[in-house]
Formats: sequence, C-alpha cells, structure tokens
Amino acid sequence: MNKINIARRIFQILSLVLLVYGGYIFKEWKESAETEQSIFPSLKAPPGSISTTKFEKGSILWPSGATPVIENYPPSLVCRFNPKGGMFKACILHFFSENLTWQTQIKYLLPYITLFILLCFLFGRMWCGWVCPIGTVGDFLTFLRRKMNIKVRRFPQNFRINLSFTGYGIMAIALTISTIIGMPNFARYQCYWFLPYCQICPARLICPMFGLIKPNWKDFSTGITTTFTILAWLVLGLFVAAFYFGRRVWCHMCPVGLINSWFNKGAGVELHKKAIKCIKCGYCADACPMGLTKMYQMNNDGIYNQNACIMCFRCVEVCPRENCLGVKFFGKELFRRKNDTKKVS
Amino acid sequence: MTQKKFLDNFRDEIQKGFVSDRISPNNIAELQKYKRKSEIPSMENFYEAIENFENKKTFELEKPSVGYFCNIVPEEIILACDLHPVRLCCEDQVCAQAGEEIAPGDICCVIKSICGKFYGRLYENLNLVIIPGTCDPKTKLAELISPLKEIYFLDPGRDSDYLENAAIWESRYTELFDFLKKRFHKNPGRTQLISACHKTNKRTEIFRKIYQLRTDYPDSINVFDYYIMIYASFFMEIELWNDFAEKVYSQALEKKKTQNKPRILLVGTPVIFPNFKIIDVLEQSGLAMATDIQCTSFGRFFNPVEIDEDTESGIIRALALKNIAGSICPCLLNLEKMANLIIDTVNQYNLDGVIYYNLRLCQVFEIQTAILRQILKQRNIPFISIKTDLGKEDTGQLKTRLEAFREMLESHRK
Repeated sequence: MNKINIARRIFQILSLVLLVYGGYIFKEWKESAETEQSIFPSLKAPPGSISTTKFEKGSILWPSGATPVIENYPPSLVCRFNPKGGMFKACILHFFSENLTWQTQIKYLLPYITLFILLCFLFGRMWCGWVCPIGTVGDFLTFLRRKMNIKVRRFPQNFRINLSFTGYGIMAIALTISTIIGMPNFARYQCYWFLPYCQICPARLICPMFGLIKPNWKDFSTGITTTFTILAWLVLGLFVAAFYFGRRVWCHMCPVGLINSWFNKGAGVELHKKAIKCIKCGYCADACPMGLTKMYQMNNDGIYNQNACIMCFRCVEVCPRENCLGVKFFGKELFRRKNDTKKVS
Repeated sequence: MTQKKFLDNFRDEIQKGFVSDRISPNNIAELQKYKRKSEIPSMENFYEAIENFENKKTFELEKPSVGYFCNIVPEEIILACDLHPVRLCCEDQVCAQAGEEIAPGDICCVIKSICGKFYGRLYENLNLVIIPGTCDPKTKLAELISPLKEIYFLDPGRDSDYLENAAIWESRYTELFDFLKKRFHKNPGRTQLISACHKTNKRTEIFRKIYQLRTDYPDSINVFDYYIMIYASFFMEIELWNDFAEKVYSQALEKKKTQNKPRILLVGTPVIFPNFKIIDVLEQSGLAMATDIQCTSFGRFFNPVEIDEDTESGIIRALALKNIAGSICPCLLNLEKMANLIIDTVNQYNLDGVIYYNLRLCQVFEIQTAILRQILKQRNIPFISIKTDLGKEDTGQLKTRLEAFREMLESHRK
C-alpha cells in the first residue's frame, strides 16, 4: 500500500538535496563551471544595467555568492538563492525575466527553451509534484499540520481558478517590468526592479536557509526595496499559510507551475480512467492535493490530464477498484491500480 | 445534535398498547440444516456463534453495545469509542408477523421484522440504536421504536454523486462521534479511529480474498457458508471474525475444484439468515452463485477505508466517502454506478447471468428493475428479476423459473 506515495516522498527528498545542495555535492564541477565565462557571450548589457556578479552581500538579490554547477533552467522551482550556487541556475521565470531585461538574442536562448519544452513535454507538471524543492518544503508543512491534527481547508473550485488568474497576473506584471527596464531609457531602474518576481518569491527567503545562510530579511534602504521586503514577507506568510492549511493550494498560483501546466495536456505522462470500473466513491477527488475533481466526474474512458494536475498519482493509489485508474507513458502502461488481494488460481 | 426523543410524552401509552411478551423465533433447526452442508471444518466457529446468539436471544457483552442499520452508519466510529456495534438488519418471518401489529402488513418486511424484534423485547440489552434515514421506512422506524429504546437518528444527504455533500456527511459523522463520546463517557481520538479502520480494512482484505476465490471456484465455500459468515459479522467481535474467516479461507483454498454449473451474479436486496430461500432455490436449480452485489456483503466489505488525511476530520471524511459516496444502496442516487458495477463484474469474472433479487415491497430496488433489464439486454447479459417475500409458499414456482433460466444460460453458453 501507498508505494507510489513513498516513492514520491523519497524522490522529493533526493531532488531537494540535489537541487539545493548540488553546489556542495558536485563541488569540482562547480569549480570548473566558475572558471567559465558568462553563459551568454553575446550579452551586451546597456550602461547602468546590472548582472548577477555585481550583487554584493546585503543586496536583496544577492545570490549566495556563487555560480551553480550547471547553468541551466529545469522546469522545477530551483533558485538563484540556493547556498553555494546550487545545482542549476534558476527557475524558468527567472530565465525569462533576466533575458527580457538583458534583451538577449533569441538564438542564444533557444537551447535552454528547447530543453525546457522537452522536459515539460515528457513529464508535464510532474516536476511540481515530484521534484520542486519548494513544494517539498510545503508538503513538510502539510505533514506538520496533519501531525498536529488540524483539519485541512478545502477551497472551492472558483477560488482555485481565481488563484491561477492571480498567478498569471503577477507573472504578467513581473515580465512587463522586466521588459520595460531593459529599454535604454529605463535602464537606471534596473538596480531596483531587476527580477521583480524573485524579489517577492518565498524561495528567496527559504532557499538560503537550507545552507544556514542568513537570507536578506530586510532591506529598508529605499522606498522600493522597503516595498519589496514587505511584499516578500507577505508572500512568505501566504505561502506558509497556504501549505499549512490547504495542502497544495499555493501551487495554483505559482508562476513556474503555471508555465509547466501549459504542457500537461499532451504530455508523455498520461492519467487515464476506465469509466465502467468507477463506482464514484470520490476517493480520488478527495485525495487530490490540488483539489481536482475531473477524474471523479468523467463518465467516459479517456486520458484526463488536467492543467493543474501535479501528477502525484495519489488518485491512482487510493482508488479501490482494480484497473480503474492508471498511468501511461506515451501510450505504454506504467502502472494501474491493482486489487489488494492476489488472484487465487 | 440529531439525537431526539421522539414520542417521549406518549411512551407509556404506546408501550401499554402493544404486545410485550417475548416472541421466540426458532431458527436453530434451519441453522443445523446448513451446517450439515458445510464442508469446511472452520465454519463450525461461525455456526456456533450464531447458535449462541439465537439461543440467548439477546446480547450479553462486557462492552456497551450499539445497534445500527445500514452501511451508512460508520461501524468504525462505534468501534473507536470502544463500543460493540451490532447490525440489526433482520429478515425473520416470525418477527415480521409479530411486527405487523406495529407496522402495516404492506410495507417492507425488514422493517416489520425489526419492529417485531424490538416490541418482542429481543433487543433489551442494547444501549443505543443508531438509525439512518436511508429510506422512508427506516426514517419512520426511528419513531416507531423510539418509545422502547434510545435512538440516534443519522440523516445523510441522498445525493451520493455530489461530492460537495461530503462536508455534510463529515459533519453528521462528527456529530455522531461527539455524541457517542459524551453518551458513553469515552474519549477516543484519532489513534482509536485509525485502529478501528485497520480492523475493518483487515476484514476487507480477508473478504476480498474470499470474494475472489468464490468468483473463480464458487464451490470452494458454499453459498450458505458465505452468507452465514456475513450474518455472523453482524454481531461478532471484529477481530474474532477476522481470525475465523482467515482460517475458513485457508481451508477453502484446499477445496477448490472446477464445476460446470452456470455461474451467476446475485444483485439486489440483502440475503440475511434465516431468510435463505433465494440461495436455497438457486442451489436446487443447479445454479452457482459466484458473486454478489448486495449491501450486507459486497457493499459493506469490499471498499477499504482510504485514509488520505490522518487527522480526525480526515479519517471521518474517509469513512463518509466509503460508506455514503461508495454506497450501492438504491436509496441514494447511483443507478449508473450500479449498472456499471453489474456489467463490469459480469465481464471481469466471466459470469453467465444476473439474478436481480427483490424482497417484495422494497420500492427502491423494484423501481430500477426495468432500466437495469434494458441496459443488460442491450449488452446481451442474461437477466432475471425475482420478486418474493419471507414466506416459503412460492418456493416451487421460483424453482421452476430459475430452472428455466439455467437452461437458457446453458443454451446461451453453447
């Protein structure tokens, strides 16, 4: 029983260790990576612009002072604020934000975008459920709540849809700001507005703590940094409350998750249902950490990958009917819900 | 709180007005008949338990005992409060006749039997009776027997296909849990709830093994033994039942042999001892009941409690989903689920036909017969609907019908 859940937890912890402490673990790789020049050789930052190397300790965007082992952007929420640079550079929102500001030519971005799309195409939003270190931290908060015997808060569907609209709104604002400050006339604002989402992202405060580095809790030097500091605190509070009281409700508005969700329908990993087996017990809908009910509602056979699904396969695991729900990878069956008793013959 | 004292002011009048003598149904001879047919030595335990129960005609337990009807009432919550749950569903003809004094003749015979048992003073030792408002007669039953017993009325929503109702079911169950804690001065928490769920899940595991074995080899545990086991679970201690059933299963494994009788699926009203008329007739007509979809057996045992959130409210919600959302009771909105279940069971276990058994005057079972018949006809699954009551007068007629059905199945096979 619960084999999938146990496997997922182990994978999540391993991913957290790899993505957050990759800098420590693969130190030699990192050192060789440090000797390399900038990943974007054509980068011609306009005068007054900012680059990661200029951030000093104490700055709100100080990235723990080191480059990552691999300068790449996987579809999971890996962070520039990881101690010792971490394993990968940053998340995809960071990638878009900084390159919009730097106005990097598309040909230099293509390999990164291709890799990102390929990974999303293969696994959909499985990255959120199985890899994302911030999701793992959140799941740990959920675990704490359960141990404290506090009732889970379930949010209505409309609320969750509104959350994702909020996420898109924040993402649009962040990307627009990044584009505007990339224009020569506005370059002087880069020192304050660079990577606007990163400045309020809960990972900015959480990730450095994994390496026992004190994150930049407060920067009240100017009005803008004060606003960002207060916003970051509010967002962190929301993050903790969302995961503590409501399982994965935060993931409905996480911009990285929202970008991944575009690839969920049509991804290699497919969740499918055999409707005749379904007895509408509601176990799948109840166990879904994202609160999705389509798998429960559908009365026809088919593949039901929903945009918000984080592919934790909890629905498959709790289904009491043999062969009702299953997971396929490009049409090839990976596993199905099995009856708990072995067939006697 | 849904605990109400119905008819409290009229208690004396009602008690004086009706029979108060003990009625004494005697089913031991019937029990011995089925015992002789049993080929599994371990079944002795179950027969003995039922014999003791029938002889004493009452419950003598160390723990306070709580009676209940229907799967809607969560057995696990009663177990968690360290109480002894006793399922009171009853199909006894003697009791039904006695019950006609309270309940009119042309209503459900299960309700009449229950009224007979209560007014015949057979359930004196019960501390509390939990009655769910599953169907209309059950709802009125709460009022009918309230002058005799302390009643807790549990009212679930009947739309089992609307998951938003889960919050209502959860609050109803929580109220029941709180009431039991207060009423019996117990203080169980989630540890007790989880341990109760483990007990019932263990039972599910054993039942699934037996269920699976019988679908492959219906003769490994004969149909009477199967229903005797089910009946024994109504009042036996759950751990004891699990132990005995495990033994029966291990002995039955050695007895499996292929047979050539048409294998059928029995769907409909529950078969409860001593009303074994339908399975008696099935046996005599040369049909093998390979599996069933009934609330007392499949509906009660097949689904495990899946605890996703191990908080108290999460466990109670899981119980609500198991007992109400996953219910096969036709009182709830689930005809499509029932049709799916029948078609899937027939296909999965390669069964020959479906018998829809309807205990006369149960309207909800009767009302969906035509639709089910039509659905199964389109899928070329042989279907027969049997409508009968607790009396034995129509045994010959039933036998003729089922023999004709068997012949039809045999020709269908060829």
